[in-house]
Amino acid sequence: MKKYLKTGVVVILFAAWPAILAVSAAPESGPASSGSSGPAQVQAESAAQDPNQLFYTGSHYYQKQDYVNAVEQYVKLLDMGLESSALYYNIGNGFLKLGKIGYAILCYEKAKRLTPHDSDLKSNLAYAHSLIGEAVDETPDKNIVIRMVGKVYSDLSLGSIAVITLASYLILCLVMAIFIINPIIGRKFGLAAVLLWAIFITNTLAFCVRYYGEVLIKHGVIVKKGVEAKYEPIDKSTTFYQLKEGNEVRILKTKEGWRQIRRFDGKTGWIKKDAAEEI
Amino acid sequence: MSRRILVSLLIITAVFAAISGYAAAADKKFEVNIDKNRVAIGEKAQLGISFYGTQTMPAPDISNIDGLEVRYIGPSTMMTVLNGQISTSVTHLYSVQPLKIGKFQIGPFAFKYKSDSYTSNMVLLEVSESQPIGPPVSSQPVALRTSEELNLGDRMFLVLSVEKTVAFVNELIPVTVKLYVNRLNVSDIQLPTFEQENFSKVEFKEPKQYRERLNGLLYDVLEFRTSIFGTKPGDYRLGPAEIKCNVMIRKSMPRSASMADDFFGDDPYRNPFADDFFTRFERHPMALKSKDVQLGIQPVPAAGRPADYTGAVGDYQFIYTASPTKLKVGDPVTLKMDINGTGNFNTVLMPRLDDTGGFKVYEAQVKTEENRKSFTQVLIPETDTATQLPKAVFSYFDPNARQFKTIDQGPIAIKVEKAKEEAPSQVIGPVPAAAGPGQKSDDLGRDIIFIKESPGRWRAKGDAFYKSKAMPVLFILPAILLIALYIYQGRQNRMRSDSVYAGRIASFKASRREMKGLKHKLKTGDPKVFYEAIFTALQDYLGYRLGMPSHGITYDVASGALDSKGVDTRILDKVRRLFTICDEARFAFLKPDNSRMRDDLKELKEVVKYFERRKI
Repeated sequence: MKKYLKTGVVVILFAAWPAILAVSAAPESGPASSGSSGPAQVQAESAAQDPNQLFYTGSHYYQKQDYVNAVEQYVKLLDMGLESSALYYNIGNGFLKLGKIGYAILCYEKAKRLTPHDSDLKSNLAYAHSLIGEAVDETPDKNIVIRMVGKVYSDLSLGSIAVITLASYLILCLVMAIFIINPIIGRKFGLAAVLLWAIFITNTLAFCVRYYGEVLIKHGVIVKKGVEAKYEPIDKSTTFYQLKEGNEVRILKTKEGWRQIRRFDGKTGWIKKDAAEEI
Repeated sequence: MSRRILVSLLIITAVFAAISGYAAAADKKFEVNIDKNRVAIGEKAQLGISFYGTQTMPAPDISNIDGLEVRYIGPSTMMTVLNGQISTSVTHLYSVQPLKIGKFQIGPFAFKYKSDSYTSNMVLLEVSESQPIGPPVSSQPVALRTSEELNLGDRMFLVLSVEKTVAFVNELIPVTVKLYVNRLNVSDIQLPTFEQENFSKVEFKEPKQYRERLNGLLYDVLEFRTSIFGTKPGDYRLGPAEIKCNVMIRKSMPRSASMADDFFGDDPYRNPFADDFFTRFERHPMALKSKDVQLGIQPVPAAGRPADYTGAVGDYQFIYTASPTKLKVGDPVTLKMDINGTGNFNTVLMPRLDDTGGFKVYEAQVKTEENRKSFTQVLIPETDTATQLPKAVFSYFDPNARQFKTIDQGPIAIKVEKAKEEAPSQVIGPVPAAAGPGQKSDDLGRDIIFIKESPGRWRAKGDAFYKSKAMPVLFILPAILLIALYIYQGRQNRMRSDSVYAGRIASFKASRREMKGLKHKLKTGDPKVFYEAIFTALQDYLGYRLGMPSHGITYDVASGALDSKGVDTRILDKVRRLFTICDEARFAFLKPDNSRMRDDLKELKEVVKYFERRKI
C-alpha cells in the first residue's frame, strides 16, 4: 500500500511539470484573447497606451485604405517592445499595399517564425514572392533525416517545438521514475519508454535544427531596389550580382556599413548595410 | 623476465624519443659575416647573413642594433659545387653604418621560421674616429680573375647555347648555360648573366645537376635553363654569359712548384676535407665567361595577319566555357577562356569577344601559370532577350608553321529567365486590365488575404520560452530528481536484501535517538534511570550491529563476537567497563556522581563513534 502511495506521489510530482510548463509558456500561436496578461501587458501599460487599442486603430486605418497611418499605428506597438504574429502579418499587408515588397516579405517572415502554420500568412508570403518573380525558396536539405524532421515540424514554431521537447522529456522522466520505484510495473511500460525515447530524440533533433536555422544563422531580406552585391566592401568595387527587393539572403558578417551576404545559390557578396534587414 | 624486457624497451624508447626530441628542438645555425671588422665613423661595412640548404629563407630583421644604422640591401642566392655535390644558399646583405665610436658586437641573432629556431654566430665591429687602424683596406672590390689567369685550362668552363639561331619577334628561344667543373671545389656560384639588349628579361630557374663525359674527362655539370624572346627585328649577339663564383685552390706547398701542380697532383682523388686539416686552401673569386652566340630576329609577317592579332607567338589551344547557362536577368554569367600550349604567354592577351551588346561587361581577371593563361570575364544580361553568349576569337602566329592561326569558340547558348515585371502569371487572382497612375499599390494589394482582426497573444519582442533561464532548470531538475530517486531506491532495496547493512543503518538511527534521551536523563541526576538507559542503548546498538537479539546482550555475549570482528582491545575494555558500571548502578545501588555519569556518556559516544567509523 505504502509502495503504491509512493509511486502515486512521484507520478503526480512529474505530471505537474508539463502542466506548470503549459501555463508558463503557452505558445504564441494561441487564439486571440482580448484580455491578455503577463509581462508584455505590464510593459504596455507602462507606455500609457493600450496595445489592443493601438492595434484596432491600425486596423481601422487599414480598412479605410490609409495604409501609411495603419502601418504607423502598428509600428508603434513594435516600438513599445511588443510583438505578435498577427501584428507582423498586418504590417506586412500594409507594406505590400504601399508597394514595399521587401519590408512586406520581412514582416511575413517574422510572423512565420511565430505561426508557421498560418495559411493566410503562407498565401500572402507566396503572393509577395510571386511579385518579385520568385517562388518561396524551400530547397530541401540533403540529409534525409533533417529533411523528414523538418517536414514533420514545419507547422510548429521554435517555441512550440521547445515546449513539446520539454514535455516529452518530462514524461520520459516520469516513466523512468516508475521503472525505478517499481520495476515490475515499469516493465509494462517498456515499449512506451522506448517510444518516448525515440520521440524525445526526434523532438530534440527538430529543436536543434530549427534553432540553428533561425537563431544561430542570420537571415535577411533585401528591402531596397536594385541592390548590387560587390566583390569587396568598397563603393568602387566590381559588382558581382544584383539582388531584387524582397530577395532572401543569409547574412554572414556586418562590417563598417556593409553586410556580407550569401545568396540562395551560394554566391557571396557585399551589400550596403541598410539594403537588407535581419529577420 | 618478459616484464623486464618490456620495461627496458620502454625506457629505451623514452630515451630515444627524448634524444630525438632534443635533436629536433636544437637550434639551426646560420652564419653572420662582415666584410671588414674595423671602420671609421661614417664609413659603411657590409654584413651578410647566410642560410645554407635553402634559397627561400626570408631576411631576418636586425635593424635594432644600438649605435649602428642597418639597412637591408637584398638577397644573394648562390650554389656551391664541393666534391661533385651541389648545395644552395641564400645570403641576405645589409649595409651597416656606425653612428658612434666604439666596439660593437653584432649578433648572435636568433629568430623563428616555420617552427624552426635559428641562431647565429656573432661578429665584432670596431669603429674609430679616423681611418681604421691596421693594414689599409682597399676600397676597390677584389679583382675577379678569369679562368685563364688562374690557369684552370679545361678544368672549368662555361657554355652558352640556344635552341634556334633564327626566330621571330616574340618567339620564345630556349637558352641553356652549362657550367662544367672537373675535380674542383667551387663555391658561391651566382646565377648566370648576359647582355640582353633587344631581348626580354632573363629569369633562370633552379639548375639541373648531372655528370657528363667530355673529351675523356668526367665533369660535374650545372645546367641553367631559361627562355628569351626578341623584342625587335635584327641580327644580335647574345652573350657572353658570365658566372661569378669562388674557386678553392690549395695554397702552394714547398713540394709544389706551380699552381698547376695543385690541380694535377699525383693523387687526383685526394680527400678535400682531409686536405682542410693538413693543408690550406685559398679562395679565388673569379668570373667565368662563355662564348657568345649569333641570333637573327625576324619580324612577324604582315601578310595574312588577322585584324585582331595582338602579338601572340607560339602553338596554342583555346578552351571557352561559361557558367551558368540558365540564369535570370541581372544575374552574372562567368566566361572562362583558357589558352594552353607552348609559346610566349607574355604576349597572349584576352581573346576578343565578338559582340557584348545586351550585357553589362566587367573587367576580366587574368591568371598565368606554366604553359597556361586563364581569363575570367563576368557578364550580366540586361534583358531576357539574350539567347547566347558572344563568340570569342583568339589569333596567334605559329612560328613552326610560319602562318597565322585563328581559333573561334562559341557562341554559347544561354537561357535568361524573365524579370518580375514580366511574370504576372504568378500573381494570384485577377489583375486589372489597365492600371492608372498612382494605383500601383492597389494593384499589388488586390489579391492578398485581409488583415487579422485580433492581435493574438502579445509577447515581449524577442522574448521566447526557449531563451528563458527556466528552460535549463526544467531540464536539469527532473534529471537530479531522477538520480536522487535512483539512489534512494537503491538504498531501500539494499536495506531489504542486506541484513548487515540494514543493521548498521538501524543501529546508527537507534544510537542517535537514544543519545538524545540519555542527555535528557543525565539532567534528571538519577543514576539508576540514567544507567538503565545507557544499558538499553548499549544493548540496542550492539544487538543491531552484531545481528543479535538486543535483550540478550551482555558483555560476555558480545565480547566473543566483537573480538572476532577485530575490535580494538581498548574499545572492548570500554564496553566492558560500561556494562559493569551499568550493572553496579542498577543492582548494587552504586550512586556515581554527575561528572562520572557525564564521563560514561562520553565513553559510550566514543564506542559508537568507533563502530561507525570502522563500519563494524
